[in-house]
Amino acid sequence: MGLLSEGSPLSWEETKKWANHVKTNGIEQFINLYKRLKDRQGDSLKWGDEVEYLIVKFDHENKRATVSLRANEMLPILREPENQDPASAKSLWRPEYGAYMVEGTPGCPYGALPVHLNIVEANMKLRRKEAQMLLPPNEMVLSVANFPRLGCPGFTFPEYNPDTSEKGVSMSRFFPDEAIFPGHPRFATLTRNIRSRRGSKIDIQIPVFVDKNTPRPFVEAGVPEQKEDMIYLDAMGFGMGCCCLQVTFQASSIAEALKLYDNLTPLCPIMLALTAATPFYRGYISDVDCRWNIIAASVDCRRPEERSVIRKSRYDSVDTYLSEENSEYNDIPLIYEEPHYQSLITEGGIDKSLAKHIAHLFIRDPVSLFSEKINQDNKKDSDHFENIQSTNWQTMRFKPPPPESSIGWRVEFRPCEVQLTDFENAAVVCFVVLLTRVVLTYNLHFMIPISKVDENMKNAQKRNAIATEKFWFRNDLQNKTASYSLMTVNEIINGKEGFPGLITLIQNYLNSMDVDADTQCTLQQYLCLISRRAKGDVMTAAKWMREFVTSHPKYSQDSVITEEINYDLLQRIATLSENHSSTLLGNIDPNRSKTQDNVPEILTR
Amino acid sequence: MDTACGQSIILSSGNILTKSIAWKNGSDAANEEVYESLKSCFDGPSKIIQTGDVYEVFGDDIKNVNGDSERQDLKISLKIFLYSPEKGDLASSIEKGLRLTSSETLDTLVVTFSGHMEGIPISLDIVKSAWLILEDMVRNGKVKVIGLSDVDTQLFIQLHDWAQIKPGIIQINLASCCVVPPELADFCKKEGIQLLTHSDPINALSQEKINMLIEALASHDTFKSESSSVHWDLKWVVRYQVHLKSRGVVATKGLIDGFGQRIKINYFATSNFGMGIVKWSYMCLQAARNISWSNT
Repeated sequence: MGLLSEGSPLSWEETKKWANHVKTNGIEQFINLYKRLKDRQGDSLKWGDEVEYLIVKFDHENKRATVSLRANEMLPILREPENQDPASAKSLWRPEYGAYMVEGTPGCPYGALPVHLNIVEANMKLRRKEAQMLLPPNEMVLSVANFPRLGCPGFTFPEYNPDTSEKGVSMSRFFPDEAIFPGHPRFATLTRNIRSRRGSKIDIQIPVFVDKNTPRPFVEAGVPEQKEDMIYLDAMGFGMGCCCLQVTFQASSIAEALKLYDNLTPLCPIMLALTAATPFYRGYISDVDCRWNIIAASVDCRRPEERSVIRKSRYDSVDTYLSEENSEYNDIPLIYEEPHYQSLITEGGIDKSLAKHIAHLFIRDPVSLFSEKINQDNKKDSDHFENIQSTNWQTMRFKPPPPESSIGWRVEFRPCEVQLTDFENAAVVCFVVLLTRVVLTYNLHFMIPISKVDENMKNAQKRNAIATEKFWFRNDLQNKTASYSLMTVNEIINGKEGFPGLITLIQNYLNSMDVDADTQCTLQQYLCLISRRAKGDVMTAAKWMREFVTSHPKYSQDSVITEEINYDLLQRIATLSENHSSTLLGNIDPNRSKTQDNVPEILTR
Repeated sequence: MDTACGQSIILSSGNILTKSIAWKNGSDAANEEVYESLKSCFDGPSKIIQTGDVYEVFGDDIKNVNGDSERQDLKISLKIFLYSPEKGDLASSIEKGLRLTSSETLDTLVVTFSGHMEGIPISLDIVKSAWLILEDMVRNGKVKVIGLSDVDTQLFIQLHDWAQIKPGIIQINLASCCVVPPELADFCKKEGIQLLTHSDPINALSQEKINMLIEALASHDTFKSESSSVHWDLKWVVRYQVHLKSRGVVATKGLIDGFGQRIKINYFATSNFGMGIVKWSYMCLQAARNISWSNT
């Protein structure tokens, strides 16, 4: 969601002029925050998930499905409860990039006890229901990572034509500006400014999945920018219009936050491979299973001459561990401006690794700025810091406490792809939360060199990576011996000779906690799903969707997802919660999970 | 049967949390965990303190069990695997647990009737007899919530009806967590009883493991000479856990075994307080040495 200051966005030309102002003041704002809050202790473990949804419209007569640009209409209604009484709202709603997207989070963060894990799924179901209630009969809220025919002609309802002219925000051949959420200027502003800064349209090339009848070379008529055998995408909407699943944790101190951040970082590629759910782009089957690189390219504001120096887009995996004690693993060059770094070290008294991380975030220019927010009181406001922080989209995000709030130091885990059902989303989220508890209980060390994490990120996105790829992973989680080796996702999750596997660690942890029967039942279902997915007994969402399409009677083995195939696929997804798929969940019956919407009082004593 | 006072050996081992024995899964692992933990305290360098008939053997990494945390931030729980029907044994297991947790109170105390005539359901009278001790503990302010583990639904309901201080917890085995007897689930909901799961075997130590442990002990320098006339009965095993309340983190897990030989072997675990998360395992074996009146 990012920073949603209200107000009047500046043009790119104006924004450029204020770049140094924003950066300098942003650094100072972080320094002030840090000094004020670095000794803060004792915040309890609270955490929350964020799920993004698409609104899809079905035309049953013509067997077509489109994205419904209804978000702006829905959001004010969805937000009524939180506007009237935030304390009692069961869920909170936010806009996202697409005019066809909404994002929901739990009304109250979840707590520290195992029993809190048992309300996640019920809360997610509630959110889905809340949104669904506002829709006409032929429209559905779906948690699909990418609308398969996003960018195909007529993919929106209402239908709009893309504006390739200079007046257009995206200037895309395929993505109309009306598909960008209109209710807040941030999204259009970012789109225009990122494009302006880079000096050209977004340029995303994704390898097409070559099937028996796929034309070779694969070339799209009328699309000169397309490279051979690539699916070409040319707008921010193709990336930011995808849905993801995020988890944010509050830590008890800054040291604990850094520890969690560092330990979760090497888990990002593994979770990405496990949750892979994005095999389709603009009506074609691609050769990748994940959205990550696509989004990275969709907001890449680097000018051509910058690309050899600044190695990554402002959306990409993290470049450094944050704790001093893990600096030995920071083996890729980190770009930052020396004056920023020096301020952080000397004025802020901040440790080198954290200072480098912050300074590195600040190499990016602000790409949206509101006139009302230019002049700030750096002791009280933090909008300039948030401006840069929120437009660095990384696999992890380290979040200082907001000024004047009771919220503590937080860590956001951002790589997961949204899953097709609430059961799966809850399973993924609970799995990640349990991993954090395991890290802290057993004082584990997951760190491997950042360059290896980057390598893992590349491999995690390949088609069927969960089964075919190996990932660098630390051999000995308990000790300081930093050796690592290549392991399959199965080995990492389920263990092997000499390596316990993440599930065993979690089971051990659960054995030492007071877990009530209902929660235990639910968690065992979730762990079973993760375990089987890692083993390959059940499919990832990406694989399941590929199978559906490639075995569809109307599929011509040419990598094309027709309107009818798209319609059938989305219809099937829409009925997954009542009509489970055995290839997606195996014989796990998601209705056996004992999730419930509230925490029984006796279990909180 | 008079278990004449013999020597007591208390074994205190290290922190289970950070030892690799914590890495295994299932109920075999639990057995292993108890056995390995106990054995480890006299396997390596250890400190033995003798007070009269009591020998306390400490593994080499004893630290203050509760570290820097405030008592109110901690939840201290004890689970007793009771092998002996004698009230004195149950009472002493609780006292030991309290002493070793360096705390004056326990938040929860749960009893399971282990090794108790396998296959024969436990009688209500035995449970009631143990329950009276537990009630005293609550009245004395030493324990806040008392409960039982692995008792069948009917017995539990009968106990609940009879008890003056009602059970606040019932534990069932993890394997049956998805098929909780509806009667039990309803009863707990109605009466406000926590229905928790565990993955412990009923017997914290199998007979085989008990024998192995005794053999190992018997070959230890300090206790060698005693071995020939020793007859060991396991009295109780106690596991102690400390949780940091607001963090969902296990702080301490300890196991204490009581062998019928009145040899108390406390397995005492310490842990790393770096992040305030510690798990302690205590094993206290209270073994009663059955010394025949005619010998030493």
